[in-house]
Amino acid sequence: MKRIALSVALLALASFTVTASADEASKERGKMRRDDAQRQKDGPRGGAAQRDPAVMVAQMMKQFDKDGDEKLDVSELTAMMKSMRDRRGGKGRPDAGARTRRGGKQGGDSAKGGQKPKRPE
Amino acid sequence: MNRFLTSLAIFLAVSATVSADPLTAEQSKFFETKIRPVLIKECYGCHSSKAGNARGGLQLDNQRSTHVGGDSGAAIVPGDLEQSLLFNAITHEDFVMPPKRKLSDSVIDDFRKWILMGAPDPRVTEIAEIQSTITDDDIAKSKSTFWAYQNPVLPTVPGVNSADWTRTPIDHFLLSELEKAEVSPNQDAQSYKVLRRLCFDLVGLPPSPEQIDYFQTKWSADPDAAIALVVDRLLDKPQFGERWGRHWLDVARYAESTGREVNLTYPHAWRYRDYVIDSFNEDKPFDRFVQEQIAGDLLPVNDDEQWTQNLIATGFLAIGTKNVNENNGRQFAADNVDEQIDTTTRVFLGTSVACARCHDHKFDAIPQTDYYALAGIFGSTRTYFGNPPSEFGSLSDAQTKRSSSLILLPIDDPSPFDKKLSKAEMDDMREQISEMGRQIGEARRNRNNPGKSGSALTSLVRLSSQRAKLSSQLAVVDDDGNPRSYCMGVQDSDSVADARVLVRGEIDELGQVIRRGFPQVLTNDQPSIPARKSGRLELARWIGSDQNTLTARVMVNRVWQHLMGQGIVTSTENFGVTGQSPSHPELLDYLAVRFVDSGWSVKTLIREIATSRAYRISSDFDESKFNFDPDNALLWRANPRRLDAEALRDAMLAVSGELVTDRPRGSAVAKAGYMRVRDGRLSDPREQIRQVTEKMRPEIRDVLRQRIGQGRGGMRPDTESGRRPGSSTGRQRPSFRERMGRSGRSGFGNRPSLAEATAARNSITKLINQRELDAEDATYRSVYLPIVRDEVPRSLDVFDFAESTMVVGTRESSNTPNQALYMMNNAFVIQQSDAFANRLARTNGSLNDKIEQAFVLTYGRPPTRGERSATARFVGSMGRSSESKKLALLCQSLFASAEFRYLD
Amino acid sequence: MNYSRRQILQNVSAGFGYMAFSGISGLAGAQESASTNPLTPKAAHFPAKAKRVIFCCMQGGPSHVDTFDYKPQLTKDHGKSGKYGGKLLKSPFRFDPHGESGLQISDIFSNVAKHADDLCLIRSMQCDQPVHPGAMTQMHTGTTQFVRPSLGAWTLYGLGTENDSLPGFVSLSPPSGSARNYGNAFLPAIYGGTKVGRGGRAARFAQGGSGESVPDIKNPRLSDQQQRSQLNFIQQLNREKLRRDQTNPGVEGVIESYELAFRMQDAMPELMDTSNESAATLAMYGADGGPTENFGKQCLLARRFIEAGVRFVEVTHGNWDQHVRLTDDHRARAEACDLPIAGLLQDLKQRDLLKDTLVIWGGEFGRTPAAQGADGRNHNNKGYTTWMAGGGVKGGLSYGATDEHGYEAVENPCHIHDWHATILHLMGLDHEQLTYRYAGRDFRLTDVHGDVMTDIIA
Repeated sequence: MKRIALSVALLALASFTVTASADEASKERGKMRRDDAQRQKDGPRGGAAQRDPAVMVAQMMKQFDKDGDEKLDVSELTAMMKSMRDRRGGKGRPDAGARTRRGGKQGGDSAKGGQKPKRPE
Repeated sequence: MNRFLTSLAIFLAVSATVSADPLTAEQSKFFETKIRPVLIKECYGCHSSKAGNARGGLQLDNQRSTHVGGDSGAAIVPGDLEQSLLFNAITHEDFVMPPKRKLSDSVIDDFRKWILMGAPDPRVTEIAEIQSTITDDDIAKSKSTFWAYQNPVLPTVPGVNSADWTRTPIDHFLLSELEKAEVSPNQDAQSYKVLRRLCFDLVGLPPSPEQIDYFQTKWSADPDAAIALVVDRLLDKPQFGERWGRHWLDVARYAESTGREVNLTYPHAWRYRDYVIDSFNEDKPFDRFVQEQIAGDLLPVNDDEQWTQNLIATGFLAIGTKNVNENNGRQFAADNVDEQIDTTTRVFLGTSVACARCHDHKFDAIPQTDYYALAGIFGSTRTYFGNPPSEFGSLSDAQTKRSSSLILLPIDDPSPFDKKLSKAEMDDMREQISEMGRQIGEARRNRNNPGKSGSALTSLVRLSSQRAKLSSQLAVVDDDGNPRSYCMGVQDSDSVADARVLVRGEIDELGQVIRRGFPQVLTNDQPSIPARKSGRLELARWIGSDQNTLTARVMVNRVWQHLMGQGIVTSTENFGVTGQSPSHPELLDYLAVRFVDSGWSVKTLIREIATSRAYRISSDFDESKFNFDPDNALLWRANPRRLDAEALRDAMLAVSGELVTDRPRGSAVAKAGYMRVRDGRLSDPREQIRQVTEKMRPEIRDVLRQRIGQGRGGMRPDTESGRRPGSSTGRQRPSFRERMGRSGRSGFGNRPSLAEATAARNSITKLINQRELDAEDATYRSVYLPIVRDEVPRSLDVFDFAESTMVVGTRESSNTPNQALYMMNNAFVIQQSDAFANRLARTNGSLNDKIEQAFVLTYGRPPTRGERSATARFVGSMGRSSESKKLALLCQSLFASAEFRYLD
Repeated sequence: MNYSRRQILQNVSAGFGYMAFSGISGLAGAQESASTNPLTPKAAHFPAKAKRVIFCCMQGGPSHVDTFDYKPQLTKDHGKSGKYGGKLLKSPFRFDPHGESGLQISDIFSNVAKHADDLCLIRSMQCDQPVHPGAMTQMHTGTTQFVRPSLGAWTLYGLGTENDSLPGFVSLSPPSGSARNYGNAFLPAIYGGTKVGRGGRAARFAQGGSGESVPDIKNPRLSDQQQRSQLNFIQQLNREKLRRDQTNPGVEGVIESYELAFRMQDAMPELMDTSNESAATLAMYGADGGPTENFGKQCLLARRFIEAGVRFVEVTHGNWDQHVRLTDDHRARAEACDLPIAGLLQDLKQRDLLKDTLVIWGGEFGRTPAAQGADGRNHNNKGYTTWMAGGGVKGGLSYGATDEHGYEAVENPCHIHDWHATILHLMGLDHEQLTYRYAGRDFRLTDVHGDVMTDIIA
């Protein structure tokens, strides 16, 4: 169980790593100037950020191991998954309209009953 | 447990790589061994550029095209099985791919894995670099030499020889050009003509006989004072905002529906209309008016009421046409951004930046990159125009591919006709939606079944439509069934980003990223836009200010056009190189600077123009002056103008005494709610007939309903109409004969007479054939008529109403037999003529007095001798008709005549 | 003959807008000034075959390389880079030779192709702007930006019309917002086109009867006589006003439009009522059902109109703007109009009307040989195809040519001005002589350009 938990955690780490570099890259994209004449691929070039996986696993364990048994059981794993997903949620392709399939299912991020406006600062 | 963890692990690990691009060795191997070969073997034959085929518009031979997708939408959405139509197709859910075959389970599983791992794909196309042919030098040159890009400067008022003719500085500018050309301006017009002009120009209504008398008295003592007095009074009336608000609605392409193939209503657009009217009435500073419409949602506010109004103002960006039938979400988004850029730049800045969507502007110094600088701003904005989703989601009918939502108002302001639903009704609706969902699922399955596919398809269409309607009704009430208040408008998107240039404007041909900003030739300083903000606030503050050289000039020119008949710059939306040069450049600058100095007050500007000498000169024709200056660019005379559609209709109502000046709440479209418009109707004809026949005698009703049910009586069966919720299906109505036999006597108990039946059938036929959206019975001001794109009321359409799919600064002024037919035969005109005649009949006096009154009411003056004798002859020719009939015909004739519709 | 203004105004119900053309020398019609109506038929400048025009406007820009401009080299070079960028896209449709002339026409117009020996393909068209509004305006009025009278208005101005109970220039179901394209600009209002039917998506004509196709066509209360009496009174008021104003084109337009409207009340319903057409005729046009029904009806109405004496009829079919989905959508567009147009040609031939009816087909521009996306083409104003048939045009002729891929006209280029000059010429009007004095100079449809394509005239 522990071995599986650890490998899960490692895999999850690896995903964090790559996500992190993607975030950095998109910031970089956003800052590009109009007169930048360099050809770029659509996305960041190699070079993922270097972080020690062991350190990251330790951090994750600390955060999600509620019952302190140095393992992540199903519920703790689920919680971790959820929090990762929520962190990722909302980023990605800007989509102007809810994408609905023919016949329609739950539209993207449209709130039921209408959109509450954001109060201006 | 193990399997759960494993799949969990895979999900975690791979779903996180959504946004990353470089493939790991593992991903690469997976793709090359499991995915690419399948794509090549099974898909490229019909879906690749090498094979020269892109069935369904879908190319699967590179990453970008795969993500963009084809006609039905994206083929692959990394991480999302449900939205990845390719997966849908290979599992034979809605589509069947490969055609007539199904891939093996293991292959399908591979694709599942691949999508969930983020669909890593090495087949990435190169990003193109767009080079503009417009250099920085070109832009600098244009900025320093082109007239419209120089700051307006208050010129010195020119001296003139006949200074005593002038009344305001405006007259100096005009007279000095006239004197240079050795052309003298016309004499003043007759006082009643001046009053007619003022009344129609400022409030869109004719003066009453009493007002004419009063004005003439004042005028003979002191014409300047008389005009000033009337101008002030008219500017204060709420009818002012209705008149000038409508001019603005022309330019804002105001309408209450999406237009295009699938014409869905905008039931909340009316709030924007009222906002515009109110803004003109309170003389809102124009710079503020501009900012509210572009970025009202972002402006600081003092209270919720103000916030509400500001949100409603952003409806300006939301009310354009929408192609809701567009399959491709990215294309839809790009088209809406384009529409917003086009409208915003032409309406406020008289500049057609949207020409640079696909290439550098051919004439103005606007490179393609400038367009995308703005596209980043609008692309980071979310537009709300549709109907909110209900708890069942955004359900729409088969042809509506794109959905949206609406903005909840911070205050509670529902309309009386907004439906309140009871708990029972809501539960019933929910049940029906679920049931329909089930039936839809079944129909889908039957679709591929050869025997049943035909009826399955029709059921699918009908059920989707019905279910969508129910869902849309549920969505707009709260949990207790109380209607909520909404507006159309915009909000900043959660994901703000710069846009990439698109080669030739094509959504899958990417160029370099362009920082959000403004067209270079129009500004010296690019804005500094915070990273997480769209930049719309900065854009609004820049446009709604004198920080650019155009906003004031463009608006001042519009106001001038509405009062004088043509703009100083006749191309009101084009102040660029291909537009017209100003006929009086100093005058334009003078007005622009004064406008800004007055606090951007439209009323002040109108007052200055209306009190000028030039405004009141006559429109008399003079051959030599005409030969010299046929276009009247020098304004040697007042331009004779035909009344526009609204003024004409309002004038008929005012004269007949039927006009209701109160503002109606909402609009006919708001009452109808969110629906698809067809054939000029806002409701199901069957439903209307049901309501009408309710009132008839049962016997007649039954006969009629039967006949209609069998498709006789001229009705087309409407396959899409559903039954109302709660009505049972399959109820057999007893035949007429049966009913009679069974009940014997009921009510009057006799068979309907032929006359009765005919009359009943005629009223039904009329109902079927009548275009509901013509609103012939309405007696409120024309600005409140329902404006559904492609279905504009006839009374407006026939007299050159502004085409609501476009920005219209200048309406046409045509002369057609259709107008003649309208005035001769249209029900509305006849109704108003009758009412007018009744009004006359109620006054005391002889027939001759009444005739005189009729002329004063319509023309503003008593009849000439020739007109008197012609009228007498006409009335005489009607012989033994009643006086009221004679009067009615006379009234209609006056309405129909040219003088009623011309302002000289 | 000279009438004083006063005399004319006292005696005629029309204004004197028609006086302008009497400045054209050699026009016998000017001597007929006893005629009261500016729409009275006038003699042409010289004898010519075409007496009337039916213009089938293909809105949106159909692709020439997929319809009437056969480019075998494009097929061979499919997938290669095009000379202006992008990748060449071969036509998804098949081209075959047709008739004795062997004109190569694509299979989506297989019905029209049966009349190949009557068609004159102009394969070297050019116009100034590759954008819809500019190009549509130029196709109709000769200019991309100014407000000028449309082609139909000019023909009416030059020739009048044969039936004074109908508008001389009719636009059937025009796209909304395009009033300018059938407008009269500075020509007298009576020469403007009259819209019949609602355009765009709302374009449909009532089953058989006239009903809603011509709104307000009948007065619900008055008999003809009573209405005429009322109209006389209205016109008296109008004429008095015109007298007072001396010159007022707007009021003249009102006067003329009332006269025409009165007569239309009888003529229009009859004309719009297609119930007396045989089933065979309806089938010939495809007007009896299916995707060809709408446009089939319009083509049928067009024939009825010109048969009744209308000078210029425009029917519009769209939308051909396939930046995407070219294969399916071009095929669908063609399917909806191929049979109707072929039916029109057939019907005109059968009634011996084709010889003096000029049928014109074309869109505001063509499309690029290079692909846009996977299955689309962008706009192309440098080379495209229109065709003409009947009315004195050589049949079975291919005039002009584009380069091997269909990018631009390289042989006998025909600019819109040349196209307009030729159309006027076919109707017996010299485009340089058909002028109208406005704003101090003589205007004409072709401005200062235009050469007649004499080679296509039979």
